[in-house]
Amino acid sequence: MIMSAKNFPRLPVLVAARGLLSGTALLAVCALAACGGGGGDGSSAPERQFGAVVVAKTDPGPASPSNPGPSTPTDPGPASPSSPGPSTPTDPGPAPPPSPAPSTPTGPGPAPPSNPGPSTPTGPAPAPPANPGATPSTVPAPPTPAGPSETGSPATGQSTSTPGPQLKDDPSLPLLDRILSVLRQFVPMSSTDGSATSLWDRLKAAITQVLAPAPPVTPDPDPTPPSSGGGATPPPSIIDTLLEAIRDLLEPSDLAVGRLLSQASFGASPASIEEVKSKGLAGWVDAQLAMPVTTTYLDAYDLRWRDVNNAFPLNEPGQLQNDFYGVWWKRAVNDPDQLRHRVAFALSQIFVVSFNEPDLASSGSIRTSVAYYDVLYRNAFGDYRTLLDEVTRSPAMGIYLSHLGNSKEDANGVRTPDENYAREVMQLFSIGLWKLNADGTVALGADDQPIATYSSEDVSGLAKVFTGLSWSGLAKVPNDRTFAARAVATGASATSPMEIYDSRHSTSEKRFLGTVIPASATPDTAGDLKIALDAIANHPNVGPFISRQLIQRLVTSNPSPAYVKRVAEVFANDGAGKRGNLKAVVRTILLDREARDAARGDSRVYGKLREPVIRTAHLIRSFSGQSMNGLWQNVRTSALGQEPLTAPSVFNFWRPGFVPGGATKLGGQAITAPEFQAMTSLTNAEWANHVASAVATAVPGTDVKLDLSREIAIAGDSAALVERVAMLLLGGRISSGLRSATIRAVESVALPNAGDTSAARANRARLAILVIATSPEYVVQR
Amino acid sequence: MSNFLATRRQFLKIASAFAPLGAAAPFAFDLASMSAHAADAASDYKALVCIMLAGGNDCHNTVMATDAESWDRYWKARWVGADPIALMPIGKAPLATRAESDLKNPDGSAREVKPSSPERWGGVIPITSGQAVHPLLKSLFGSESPWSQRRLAVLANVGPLVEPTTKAGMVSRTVRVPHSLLSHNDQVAIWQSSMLEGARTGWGGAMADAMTSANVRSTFAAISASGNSLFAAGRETIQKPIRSSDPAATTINNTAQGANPFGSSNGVASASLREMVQAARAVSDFEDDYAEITRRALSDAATLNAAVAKSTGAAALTTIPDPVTGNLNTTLAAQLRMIIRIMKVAPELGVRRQVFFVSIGGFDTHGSQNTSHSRLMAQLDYALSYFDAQTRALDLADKVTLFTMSDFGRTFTSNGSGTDHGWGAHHLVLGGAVAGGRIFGAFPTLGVDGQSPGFQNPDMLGRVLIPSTSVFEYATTLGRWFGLSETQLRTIFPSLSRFGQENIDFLPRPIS
Repeated sequence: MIMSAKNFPRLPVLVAARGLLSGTALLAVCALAACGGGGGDGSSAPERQFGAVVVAKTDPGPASPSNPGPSTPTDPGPASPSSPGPSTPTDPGPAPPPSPAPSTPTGPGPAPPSNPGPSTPTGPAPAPPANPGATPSTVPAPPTPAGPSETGSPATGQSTSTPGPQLKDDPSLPLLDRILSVLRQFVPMSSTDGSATSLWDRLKAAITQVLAPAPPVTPDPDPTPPSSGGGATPPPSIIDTLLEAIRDLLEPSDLAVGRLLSQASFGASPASIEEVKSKGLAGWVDAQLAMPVTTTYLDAYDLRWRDVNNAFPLNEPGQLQNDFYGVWWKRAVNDPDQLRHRVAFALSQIFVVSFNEPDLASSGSIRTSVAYYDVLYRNAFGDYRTLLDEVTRSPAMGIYLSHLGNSKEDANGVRTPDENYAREVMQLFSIGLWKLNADGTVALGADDQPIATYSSEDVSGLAKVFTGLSWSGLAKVPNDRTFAARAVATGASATSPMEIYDSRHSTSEKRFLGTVIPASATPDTAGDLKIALDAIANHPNVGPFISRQLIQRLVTSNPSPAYVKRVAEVFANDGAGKRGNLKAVVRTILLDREARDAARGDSRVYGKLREPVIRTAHLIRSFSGQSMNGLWQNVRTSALGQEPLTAPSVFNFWRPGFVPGGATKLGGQAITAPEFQAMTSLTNAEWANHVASAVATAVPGTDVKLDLSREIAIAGDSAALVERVAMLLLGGRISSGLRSATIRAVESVALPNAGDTSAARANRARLAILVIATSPEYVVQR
Repeated sequence: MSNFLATRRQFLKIASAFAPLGAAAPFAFDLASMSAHAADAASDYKALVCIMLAGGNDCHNTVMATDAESWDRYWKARWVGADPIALMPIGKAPLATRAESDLKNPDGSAREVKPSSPERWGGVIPITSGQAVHPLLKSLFGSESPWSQRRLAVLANVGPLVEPTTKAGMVSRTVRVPHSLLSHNDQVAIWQSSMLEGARTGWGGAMADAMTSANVRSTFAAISASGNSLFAAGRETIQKPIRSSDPAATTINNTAQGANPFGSSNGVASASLREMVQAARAVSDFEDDYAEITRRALSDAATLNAAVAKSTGAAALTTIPDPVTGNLNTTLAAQLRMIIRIMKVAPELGVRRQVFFVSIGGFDTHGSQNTSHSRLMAQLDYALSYFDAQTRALDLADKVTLFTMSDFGRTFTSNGSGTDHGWGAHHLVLGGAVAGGRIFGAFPTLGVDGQSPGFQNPDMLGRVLIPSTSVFEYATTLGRWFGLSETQLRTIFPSLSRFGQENIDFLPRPIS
């Protein structure tokens, strides 16, 4: 056989397919469990997670082949106690006490209602051996793999420090969805040797061969799964869909590639399309997730400043937010670690600071904001608790939400600490106003009413925690005015985390979210911060609250509750017992069936409006735009309704729950569409003008010019030209109406029979891009 | 500090009581049909202009009580912390930057006047025997001002309420109060629509809906200079966004939409683009709604721009000095100037009833309040004075009523350099029809319980004002003047009957 060891990771797919085609979903699940090395001796049922069954781990890791997923600890995170040390047991009010997220595996607890029954997972599957290498297989025999430790190929980016997530199967789903879901989880392994095609052929042949006889092996012992698949041979359409889905993972179509790049990058470029095609969808995602931070924004910014001005020192007057934009656009367009930048940009719309705050836009303060963007960029694939800590300690956030220089209350009780950060860190950065179910829907109390997550007392209590922070490097006991000075510090202080000044920190009792920090004789800012941020980060709302918003920024405005739940479960536990692993969260968001199935786009309410900033970057990336002097000056998009790090308020450009008003189709169905909050007839017209300017000369006001040479080269063939533009902007999915209108527009530019036709060809290319990029068909990412 | 927000138990009680706007009926249709009679009578022109002071204006440094006891409490609450925010008492002369202040810092140290120190602006301006306003509101409240000439009124202590609310009722938790008090987005939504965040129609839009038949063309019945506002969003009336400078509306320009862009011929490319840019394929609701927004850009922008281009007379804006340093931007005044130009050509636009929304941000003054709030007061003073002068000059003053709105008031006490979120707040109403020169509503007692021995304030819970006038009462008074019938008003504000005060007489009740 030619299948190399590198290809081994795909083996489980074959087994999974065989399981499906044998006629029962259970077979597939169990086969997968066997492949993944889970299940130990195969006799114990996998653990249930609220209807999900943990069946295996993709990456058991070399050191833990015998320790499958289910035995992960119940501890939701590194900060273990939900009521940290100093807390008293007194529960002051309605706020739900922090507790482990509901999806944390806690052993065989009460069976969730959606689980069809305790015997399900064990079923009549082929006895799952502990070693996947020994899995019986009727498919064309692959070489014996080296062992389970290779299932997590180093090339996939699942580094040893980040164990891959557990495979999950939700029996409440229709059969096809179950299979696709499991397959997706199992095929993160990329094709790195270019043999994808032959692999695909083999796979297809194998599946077809197994399909041909299609004998139901055993009657399904449990008819309850609400799927259509119980025991019967799946209809051919399901098989086709399955094949298509497998192919998209291994050898993706233009549409699959285009969709992923719209969700996970700043838009498709010719190079990134090739990259995804060669790595496969999951392979590309994993490769992206494995990319480390190379250059910080601050370093990039400082280098640019030196280049522009040929001058040091930094922090000098004259620096403007435009200089930040210059760095931002250059990197969004050019950097290879697209997913990290895209997630950082998404986070910048959740953990908002903005140049709209004059104290952050003032000359000399820009580096403070740039350093803040680095917090998001560095932690984009890190863990939430660290991110929350760094956000809290950032001087840019300290200025923006005014906890920099926040002083303990006066002894007489009249002056109380600033409540700004205390309020917004709960309302916007972590838990939100209402208690949520695990799937992100609002939980209702016994009386059918929503339940507030916190009261104004919690805000006042928490505000005392956020006292005692200011610029680093002040005197150990700063006076009132030094401590509270918002004027930007110079030197390292401008970009360093805020420092603790215990003399300014409240020592009185602090109550919030069911936690009580008793009054103390001496201030302990660091200890209080840890208790408070642990309490916030461990609140069960965080997973669904943050997950849903990340899904909205990347994939779709109206994720199903089940999708939110799947992601939130990974937030609660990445499979290795770790809570808040954003890398695992992002991976789950992007590889979820609700993100990947192109057919979902057929729903009239799936997808999202492409964000104006991302549209602009996409246009530049697709058509190889570059700044002529390399500085990316004056790329401004506020007239389009969005500009990096420049939201109108801490509530971002749009709210996650925004529903368009008036006589809109979305509004009529109460469909959420956050980006519409900033879309007006002004912004829409402006978008058309931006595209027109970009194709005509340059991105408005800039020296960023597109390179249309590849389009011009084929502009003599209008169909080929439109096909290419559609491939870059739409993943090749273009309606016949848009295609024919674009072709008409293109062909209305006559090509002279002889002589220099380059001008006409260029105009054809421009028109093709203009018509497609301004169409609603493009503006909506489906 | 006492907690004024409900416990969960109380909170839940509230939820069912706080009926969403229009929950009673699909009122868009109701309103339209009800307005049939109003249409015939509406031969004149009227406009409402809402100014959103976004972020929550510090009402306590906008209008303040000046009797000795109140001032003492004010001073003790605000001359505290690293950057005290108390304004100077009546009659105090301004001091120059770098002068030595005759005041001491709260920590007892000597004090030099900084560019943003309150000493620079002098004493607050008395407007009644017991109240004064921020010293930088001098054009609005000084001599020969809209206040002194009785076109400008103050409405004291307004805020969202479910029902008349007393401190005793709150302490005993027997009164229902709105959801999510102190939360920006929710309180903005409640102010503008009576619903929490997620609301889709505001009462400005509802009033435009009600007056539909007064307008030949509803396209320009609700206009926002600040993007998609909730306030101006109607069920049927679609707010028209405008810019604050020419052109009033962005059009798709000639690069894209010329007769034959990019060397195309016979108008084919132009037609293709025009068709595709607003193509609603009925495949995706996101696409169709986006297409519809673009369609409006194509259909309305040119009409509006042509009319506004001919609208002259509104004086050019001048630069205004920044009370801290340098010059200030005049964004708010620019928005108002554009609105005046639009009002002037209303007949051409086919409208006799218009609702406008403008916004000025930056009022969330948790920190650096001396700098930021003084700038905002100066901008407000300039913009409203400009509006007053220009509408009078153009014979529009009697036909337009301008009013302010804000997320909430702020805490009476300083947090050291600013103020935190509150509830009730004072607001301004300006126009030729306004019974100006008076403070309407009950001006509250100010001060925190126990601030002086035995002091108990019935009007504040903790550090925030309990509103004595409901937003609905405020809005109803405006709507009645605008021409809505009592039935229409009660449809928009179903809980109105809980409040005793049907018309606040800053605007006259129409003669029926």
